[in-house]
Amino acid sequence: MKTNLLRSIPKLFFVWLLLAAQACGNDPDPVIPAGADGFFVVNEGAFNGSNTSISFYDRETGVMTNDVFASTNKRPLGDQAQSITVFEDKAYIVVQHSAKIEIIDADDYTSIKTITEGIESPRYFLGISSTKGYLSDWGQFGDEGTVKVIDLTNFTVIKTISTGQGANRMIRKGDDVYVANNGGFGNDNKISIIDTNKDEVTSTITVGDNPNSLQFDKDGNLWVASAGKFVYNDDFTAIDHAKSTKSTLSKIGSDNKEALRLTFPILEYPGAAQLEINKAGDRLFVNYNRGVYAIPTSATTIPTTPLIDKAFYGLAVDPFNDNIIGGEVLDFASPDKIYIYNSAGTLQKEIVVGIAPNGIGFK
Amino acid sequence: LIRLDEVVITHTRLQNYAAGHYILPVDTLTSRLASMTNAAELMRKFGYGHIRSYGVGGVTTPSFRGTGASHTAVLWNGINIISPLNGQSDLSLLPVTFIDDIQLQSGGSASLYGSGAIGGTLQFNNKARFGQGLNVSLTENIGSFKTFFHGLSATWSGKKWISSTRLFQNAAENNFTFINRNVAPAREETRKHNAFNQHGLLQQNYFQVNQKQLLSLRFWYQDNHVEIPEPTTVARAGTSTQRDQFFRSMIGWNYDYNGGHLFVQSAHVHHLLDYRNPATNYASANTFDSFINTFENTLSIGNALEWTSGVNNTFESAIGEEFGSSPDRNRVALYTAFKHESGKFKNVLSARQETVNGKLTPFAPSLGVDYKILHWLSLFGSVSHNYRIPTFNDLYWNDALSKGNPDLKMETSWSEEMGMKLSVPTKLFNVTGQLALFSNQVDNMIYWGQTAGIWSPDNVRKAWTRGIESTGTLRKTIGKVAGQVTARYSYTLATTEAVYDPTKVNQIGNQLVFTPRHESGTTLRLRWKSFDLSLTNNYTGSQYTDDGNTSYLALKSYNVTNIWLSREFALNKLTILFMTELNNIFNNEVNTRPAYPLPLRNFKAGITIRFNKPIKI
Repeated sequence: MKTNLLRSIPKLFFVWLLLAAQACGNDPDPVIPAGADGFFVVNEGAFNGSNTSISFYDRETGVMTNDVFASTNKRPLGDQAQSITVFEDKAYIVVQHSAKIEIIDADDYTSIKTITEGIESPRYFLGISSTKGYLSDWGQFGDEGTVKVIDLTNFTVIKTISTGQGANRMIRKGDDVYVANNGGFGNDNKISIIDTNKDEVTSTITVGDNPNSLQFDKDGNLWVASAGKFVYNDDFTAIDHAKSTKSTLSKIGSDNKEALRLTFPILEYPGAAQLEINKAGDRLFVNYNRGVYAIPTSATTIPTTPLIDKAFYGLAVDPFNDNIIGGEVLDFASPDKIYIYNSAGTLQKEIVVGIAPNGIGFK
Repeated sequence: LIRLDEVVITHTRLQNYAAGHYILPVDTLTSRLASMTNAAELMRKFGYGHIRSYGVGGVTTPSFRGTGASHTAVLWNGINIISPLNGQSDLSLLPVTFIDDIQLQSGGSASLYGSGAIGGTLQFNNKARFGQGLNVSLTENIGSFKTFFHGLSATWSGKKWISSTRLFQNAAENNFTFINRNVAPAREETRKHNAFNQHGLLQQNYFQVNQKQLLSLRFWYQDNHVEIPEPTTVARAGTSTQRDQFFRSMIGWNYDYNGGHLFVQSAHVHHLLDYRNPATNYASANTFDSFINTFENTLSIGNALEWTSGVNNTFESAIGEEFGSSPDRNRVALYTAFKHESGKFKNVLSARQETVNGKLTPFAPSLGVDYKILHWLSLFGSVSHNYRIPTFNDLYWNDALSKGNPDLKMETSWSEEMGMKLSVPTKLFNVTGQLALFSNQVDNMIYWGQTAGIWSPDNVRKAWTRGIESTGTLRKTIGKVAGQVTARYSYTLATTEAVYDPTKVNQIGNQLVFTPRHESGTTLRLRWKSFDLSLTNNYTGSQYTDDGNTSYLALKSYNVTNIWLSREFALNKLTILFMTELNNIFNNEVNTRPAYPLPLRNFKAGITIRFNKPIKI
């Protein structure tokens, strides 16, 4: 009898697991976290090299499959893919130098549509509703900034909203979309706020020079990483400190006012970029000065040492498990690797992807 | 009316010292068919060596035996016309009509030709032919995509004087149709912003002072405008343009004395490279000046031995915003070569020592042997140590995102080859052929790479390129038709042997980029009366485009087939050449670089009318 009871433990455990899983299934918020299936890696490739590609990491099998777009669709992806965003059941690949969005089935990677009309130098896609998406765009020569409104029923650009210069990453909160204007090939220092009901800019927030990425924390504050300005003197032999500015991290309260601006200690190129946040919404991560810095949302200064002492091009925090994923780029001439760390910054895995992994799109 | 015996004074000097090498001869018909275009097209269409090209009118550079663009010396009448700024010479800027003699030689020969002669040497020479009378020739060529070539040359060639003027203009819209597979569904598109326009003047004067002395004066001016297209993966049309304007002048004096020969030459090259992109307000205009002086003496010692020794002084300077305080360098090279020819042997032992701003380059010795083992078979072999000095861009370039590296080491190489040449004349047919096995180890190869967004060059790797080059021609005449078939094949294994950046160790053993392992070609020629039919097919094997040798990024292999029909005939005092050319007859979609297509089927036709009035004695 005793033995029988002991033998039943595994069974009981599984019954408990099933019940627990059922309970979760009945949870009022049954959203499967993004990244449950895995993630896409955007390999930017060399500028004018026509060697950009998309990789997919299957979380279940632990297998990274490279070149999924071209191998599925039997045609090149183009030149310089900037981002991939999974929205509903599709993935939106924004190919900046090819001035297009490739829309693929997120499961089998087959091409659904190529949008080229009305797009100039696109950066990021943000799904707004089943019928509407936003696309940030630098303008043909990187000296403008717009958000294109895309009708997702027929995949056409239906409206262009002017923001600042170099409209880059976007983030949504309620009816508002916040756009970081990173300057493009010039400079800007504004966050534009677009009302998604009107598709119009309703206000702007001034932050540090060249804001490029943004995140909301657990308290609803918006954090913005700005690269700063790195200006040489006229003959490029020295840095012009008078004209340069250091990278900054701004905290913006729910009143849309800048509440805090932290300045990074060293003037460096390319400056702070790729702001990410953990699941709990209380710890920020950012690429800066050839390292990954972890900054608690309670911080009043920038930490002096990086969490990960390695230079990355792309950076992402896995919403599924809080792992930190860094995309390394060596010289745009051979396939690079992504490095996966746990949230404590301990290296877990290195995986070869395509050339110059600049970002991740979770599925 | 007596036609004088033709006097040809080539004075290409060191050419006679080529021993132990694989030579690619350019025959008369080939240069005639290519006369309405440039050296890049000649090499591409007739399969001379491997070239790397961004398409018709785009930058085209040679790549011999798996080496890079800066590893082939390009000489015009003995002076190196490689740009000291970028270490390259764009073959699309060399009109074939400006050249009388083309020599393409594989293998290292820095001992004779100096820095950069690592993978091969291209020699473009002009010849003085006295006593030819008055020659005037006019060339008009028209082709698809608004391609035009106009050529005019006038030469007075007396017993003692020659004055020759050649002019050309070559322009094309190059707005050909290609299939854009970058979008779904694929669609036909027109290549945009792809035009070029070149014009130039070559003036030559020769004076035969007496039986022993020849003075030569050459001046070459050319202006080239090219629109730089974007890769076809890029949606918008290109906006960048490049202008290459150059002035090349040289004066030479040849003096034959009893038992020897003296050669003195002074040359100046001025080159403007103006790259700009009005759309982004980017402009970069750089010029360089090279002063090249040569003093060379050749002694005959007995019947079999010849000894040449010389000194070359090259002073190079660059001006441009990116070069800051106008860097220059003074190069002095001493070279010597012994040639021993007796019976079945031709042996050449040569060496060069150069200093650059007082700093010694690696000592460059070379030994070459030709051995005629049978009346139809020769064996050859050579070994040489070669070097290349970094370019001004490599050393001094300075802008916001790119920084030269003044600490670069020179590239060095050891190159070896052995092979055979055969010539079998029989009653039924005639076979000639050449085969070489080669090996070339190049160390401290310089590449640009980036760290934290800043591009900079470094001595990155040691590479070993080795393989086979071969060609064979069969000639046979059946009735009134003379036929000729040439086949070419080369195999090039060009691998990274060592890297000097530990993050790149996984590249060891990988094939170098844009270096196909296999290349082959076939040329068929038929002559009937005054008609010539030529057909060439060139196959270029697949090429890796990344250092990781990623198969999905590789450039696919391709085949291009071209056909020419020409007729040359005399009409009174005129010689008339009609030429038609159909390129890419099978309409193959070819990318010579990723997303840089060649035109589909296209057409050219031209006429050259030559008038000759011989000298009366």
